[in-house]
Amino acid sequence: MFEPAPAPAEHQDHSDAPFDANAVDDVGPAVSARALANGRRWMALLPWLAPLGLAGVLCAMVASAPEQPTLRTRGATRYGLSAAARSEAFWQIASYEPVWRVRAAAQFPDHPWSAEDDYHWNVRAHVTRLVAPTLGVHPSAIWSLYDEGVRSAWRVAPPPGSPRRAGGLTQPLRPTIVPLRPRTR
Amino acid sequence: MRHGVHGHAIPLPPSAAVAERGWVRWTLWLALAAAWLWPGLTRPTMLGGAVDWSYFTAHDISAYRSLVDHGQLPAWDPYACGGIPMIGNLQTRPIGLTALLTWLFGLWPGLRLSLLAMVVLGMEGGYRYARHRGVAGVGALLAGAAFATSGRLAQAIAEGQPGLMAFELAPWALLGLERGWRDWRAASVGGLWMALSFLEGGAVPTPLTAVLLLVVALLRTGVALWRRGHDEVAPWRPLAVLGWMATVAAGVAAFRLLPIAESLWLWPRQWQSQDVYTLGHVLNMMVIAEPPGSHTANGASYFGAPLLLMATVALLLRDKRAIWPALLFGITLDLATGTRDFLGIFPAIRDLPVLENLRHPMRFGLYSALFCATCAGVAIDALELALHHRLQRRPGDAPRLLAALLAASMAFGLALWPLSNSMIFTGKRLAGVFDRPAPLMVDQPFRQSLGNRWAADTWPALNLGTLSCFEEQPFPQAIGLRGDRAAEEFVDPPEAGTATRLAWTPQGIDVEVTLADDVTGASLVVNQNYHRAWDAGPRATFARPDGLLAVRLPPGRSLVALRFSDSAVGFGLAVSGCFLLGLPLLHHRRQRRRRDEPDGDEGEAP
Repeated sequence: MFEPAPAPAEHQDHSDAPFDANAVDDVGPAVSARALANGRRWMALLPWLAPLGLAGVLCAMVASAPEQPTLRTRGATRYGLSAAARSEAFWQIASYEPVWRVRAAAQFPDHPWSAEDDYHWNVRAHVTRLVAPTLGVHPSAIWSLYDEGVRSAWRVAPPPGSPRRAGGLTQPLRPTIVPLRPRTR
Repeated sequence: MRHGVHGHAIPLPPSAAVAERGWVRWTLWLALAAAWLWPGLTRPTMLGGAVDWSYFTAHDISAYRSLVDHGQLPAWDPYACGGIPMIGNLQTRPIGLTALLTWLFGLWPGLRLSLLAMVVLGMEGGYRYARHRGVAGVGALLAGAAFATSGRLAQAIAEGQPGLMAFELAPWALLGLERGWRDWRAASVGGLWMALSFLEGGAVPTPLTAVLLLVVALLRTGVALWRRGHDEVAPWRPLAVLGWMATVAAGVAAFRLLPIAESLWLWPRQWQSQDVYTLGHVLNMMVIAEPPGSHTANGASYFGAPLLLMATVALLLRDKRAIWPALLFGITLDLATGTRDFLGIFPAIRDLPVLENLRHPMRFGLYSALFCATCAGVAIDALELALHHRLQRRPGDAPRLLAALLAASMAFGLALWPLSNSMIFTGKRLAGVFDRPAPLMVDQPFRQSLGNRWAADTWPALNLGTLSCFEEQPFPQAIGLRGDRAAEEFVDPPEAGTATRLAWTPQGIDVEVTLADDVTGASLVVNQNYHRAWDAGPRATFARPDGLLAVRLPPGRSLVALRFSDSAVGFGLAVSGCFLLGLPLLHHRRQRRRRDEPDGDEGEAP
C-alpha cells in the first residue's frame, strides 16, 4: 500500500518550538512563490474578459432592443380601431369567404383538409397584404378582430360606398375546421 | 509541434501561436457571428416572412408560455390544433439551449441569441474538427468560420427553420466519433452533442448527422480492416463508438425521445417526397452565387468556388491530411444527390425502417462545406508552413519574428479570400430576411379560436389557440373543437349544471363544477383534444365521440384539477437523469481504474 512519506524537516510542525527568525526567512519565499503562481493563473484568465465582454455587449444589445407596442384588447377602440373600422375590416375579409371556399374546393376536390388550408391561405394573404397595411395597424390587431368577429358570429353590412354587392354578410364565418390531415406529397 | 493524422510530428504554422489561444478564437467567433447575423441581432422583434418562420415561432412561443410564464415543463401544447403533444412533437424545441436563452433574456432576444450561440458553436466545432485532422493556425480558423456561415445555414435562417441550426453541432459529434476511436470519454461527449442536436433541431439535423456518422464509422472500419495489424484502431472500434454515442444521445434525450417515439408510432410523419438532384445541380448550389431563391436554387448551399479551389490546392500539394476530408467531401456529395447513380447511399438509407421519409438530401451539402473548408484549411496551413520554412531556411534571411509575421499574413490573406467571398454572399442572403414584425404578445384568458395556420405565431402570442393548423404528423384533431365557445370548459349536458374556470395553465386546468344533486351521467368537457396523459385525479378522463377531452362527474359540487401528466415524459426524465449523473461517475471510475493499473486496456468498453 502507498503510504505518504514523512514530511521534510522544514515542513514539520514547529508550533511548540521557540520563535526562530531564520524559519520565517525560509517560509517567506515559498509563500511568495505560491502567491506568484496564483497571480499568474489569474492573469492567464484576464484575456478571457475580451470574449466575455463582447458576449455581454451583444446580449445587452439584443435584450435592450425596443419593445413591441401594446395591443389593447378591451374598450371602444380596442386593437387600435374604432367600431366602424373594425366592422369594415372584418367585412373586407369575410365577404370573400364564399369565393375563396369555392376556389379551394375546386383546387382540392378530394382533400377537404387541403381545401380548408387553401382557404386559410387566402385569408392570411389578404390580411397581411391588404387589410393591415390599409388600416395602418399591426397584423395582430386584425387577427384579434377577426377572432372577435368569428366568435361573436358577426353579420356585418358592407361599408358605405362599397363597390361590391350591397347586402351584408348573411352567414357568420364558420368557427369549426376540417381536422388535420396533411398530404403525403 | 503537433501530430499529424498518421502520428508523425509536424511543426505548427506561426499563426497557430494566436489561433491556439481560446480567448482569441472565441472573440473572433463572436465578432464574425455577430457581423453575419447583424440584421437579426439589431432587430430581434422582426421575423422573416416565410411560412416556416411563423410555424416554428409559434411552437417557440407556446414553449415559452409554458416554461417561463407558468414555470411548467412544456409537455402539452394547447395552442396548436386544439391541443397536441409539445415534447412529443419532433418539430419543436421546448427544452434545450434555445429554451434556456429565452428563459434568461426573454422570448425575442432569447430566440435571436440562440442563433448567435449556434453559429459560434459551429465555428469552434469546425475549428476543432480541423485541428483534429491535423490543421492548425489560420487554416483551421478558416475551416470553422467558413463552415458555420455557409449557405445551407443561411438558407435555414432565411426560410425560418431555426431547428436546422442544430447542424452547427455536427462537427462536435464528428469529433466525438473520431476521437472516440482512441478515447471513450470523447465518444460520450460526442453523444452529448448529438443529444443537444436532437433537443434543438430534432427532425432533420439529427438523422442526417447520424447517417454521416454511420458512413464515417463504416469507412474507418474499412480502413482498419485494410491496415489490419498496423492500425492502432481495432476494426470493431468505430462502430462500437458509434453505438455508444447513440446510447448516450438516446439516454440523455430520453425525456423527449420516448414521447416522440410514441407519437411517431401512433401518427407517422406523412410527407414522402423523393427528391433527387444531379451532381451538377448539387455543385451549383454550392458555388453559383445567384440572388436568393428556393432551398434547391443555385447558391442555396453556397460556400463558393474560392474555397473549393483552395481545397483543390491541398490535393495538388499531395498533403496527406487532405485525404480523409476529401474522401468525405466526395461521399457527402453523393449523399446530397440522393440518387443511386454512384454510391447510392441515400436511397439505401431511405429503405430502412423509420428513415423512409428522410428528404431533401441536398442538405448533406452542409457537411460537404465542412470537409471542403477543412481541405482548404490544409492548403493554407501547408502554404504558411512552406513560406515560413523558406524564409527561415538560411539564418539571416529574415529575422525570426518577421518571417513568422510574413508567413502568417500570407495565410491570413489567402484565407480572407474564400471566407469573405462566402460570408458576404450568405450574409446578403440574411440581410433581407427580417422584414416582418413579430406578433404582439397579449395576456388574456386562454381560449381556442378559429385561427389561421399560415399566421401560426399570432395565436399563442395572443394567448389563443388556433384550430386551423398544420403539422408534419397527423395528430388527431377533435371534430368537436370550436372557435366560438362562450367558455372553454363546460358541462354536458348544459342544463345539468355550471362550470367555472378557477385557474388555467398550458399543462393544467382547475374547474369548479356545480351539478344538481339528482344529476347522473354528466361530464365536464374541455374544448381541447383528448390525450391519454390528461389526468383528473380520482375522476376518469375520456374522449367524447367528437374527440374532446371530458371528465366524468358525480352529482353536486366538484373541484376538478386536470393535469397533463405523461408517463412517457416522466420515465424519460428518470432515464435522462440517470445518464446525466451516471456518465461522469462512469468515466471517473474508469479513469481511477486506469490510474491504478497503468497497463490497463485502452480499448476496453465503458
